[in-house]
Amino acid sequence: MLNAASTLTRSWTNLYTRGLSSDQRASRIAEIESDVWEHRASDAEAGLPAADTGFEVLVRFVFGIPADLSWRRATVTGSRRSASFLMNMRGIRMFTRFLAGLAPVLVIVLAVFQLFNGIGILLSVEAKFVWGLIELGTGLALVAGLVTYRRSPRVGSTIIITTVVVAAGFHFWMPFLAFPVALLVIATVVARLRGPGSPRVEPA
Amino acid sequence: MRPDPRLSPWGEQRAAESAALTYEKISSYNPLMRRKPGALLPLELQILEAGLDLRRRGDDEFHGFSIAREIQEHEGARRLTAHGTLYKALARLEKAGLLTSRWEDPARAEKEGRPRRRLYEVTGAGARAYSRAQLEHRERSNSAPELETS
Repeated sequence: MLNAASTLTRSWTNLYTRGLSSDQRASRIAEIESDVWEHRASDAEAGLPAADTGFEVLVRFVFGIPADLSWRRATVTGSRRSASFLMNMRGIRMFTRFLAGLAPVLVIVLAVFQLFNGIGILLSVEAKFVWGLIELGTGLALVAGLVTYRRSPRVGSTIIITTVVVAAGFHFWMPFLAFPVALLVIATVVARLRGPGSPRVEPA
Repeated sequence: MRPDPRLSPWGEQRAAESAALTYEKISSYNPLMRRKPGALLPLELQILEAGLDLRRRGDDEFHGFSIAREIQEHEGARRLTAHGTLYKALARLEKAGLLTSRWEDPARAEKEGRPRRRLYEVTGAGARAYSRAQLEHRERSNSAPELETS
C-alpha cells in the first residue's frame, strides 16, 4: 500500500509537470519526492503501520490534485505570458524602428511624385489647372513639412499628416491606392516622431 | 441582530448568514471567491504561524513535510495538508516575498541517506504580514459581538 501510494504520487508529479521548464519540473519532482520520503521516515520512526502511512500519502495525493493542476496552469501561463510579452515588445520595437526609418523615404518619394505629377498636369495639353495646382501644392506642402520637421518635429509631422490626408481625399477615386499609402505614410511619420533619436531643437 | 425593515425575510436570513461568515470559512477552491490583493488564505497564515513558531523554538528553516506536520499539530487536524495544496501555498508565499527558500547542501542529504530538502524561512515581510492578519482578525472578532447584540 505504501509503495503503491508513493509510486502513484511520483507518477502523478511526473505527469503534471510535463512540458514545464526543466528547472521547474526537476524542482517540483524533487520536493514531492522529499516530502514523501520524510513522511515515510517520520511515521516509521513513530512506529505507525505502513498501511496507515500509505493511506495518508494516498489521501494527500488525491486531495492535492486540483491544486497541482492550478499550480501548473499558473506556472505555464506565467512563463508563456512573460516570454510572449518580451517577444512582442522586441517585435514591436523593431517594427517601430523600421517604420521610423521608412518615414523620410516615403515622404520624399510622395513629395517628388506629387511635384512632378502637378507640373506634368499643368504643362499637359489638357491643362487641368486646378488639379495640377492641387498636386503641386501637396508636393510643396510635403517638402515644407520635411524641412520643418528638422526644426520642429511636431509641426513638421502635422503638416505632413494633414497634407497626406488631404491628398488621399482628393484621390478618392482610387481608394485602394490612396488610402493605404496615406495610412502607411502617417504610421511611419508617427513612429518616427515617437521613436528615439528623432531630431529635437533645443529652445533658444 | 435587529431585523432590517428594508430587507425581505430572505434578505434578513442572508444578512445573518453573511455576518456569521469569517475568513476561516473562505475556501480557496471556491471559484466565486476572489481574493483581495494582498489577502492571505487561512493555509498561508497557518504556514507563517507554524514557521514563526519553529523559529521561536530555534529552527529558522523548515521543509514542506515538517511544516505540514506542524500545522497538523497546531490545528489538531486528523490529516496532513495535501501535497498540491501545501506546495502551491508555499510557492505563492515565496512569490509574495513572505518566504524564502533554498535547496540544502546535497552532501548533507547524501550523508543522512535521504533526498535533498527544500528549506523555507519566513522573511521579515512574512512576519509583518502575519502580525497584520492577526490584528485584523482580532479587530473583526471584537466587532462581531456588536453585530449580534445590535
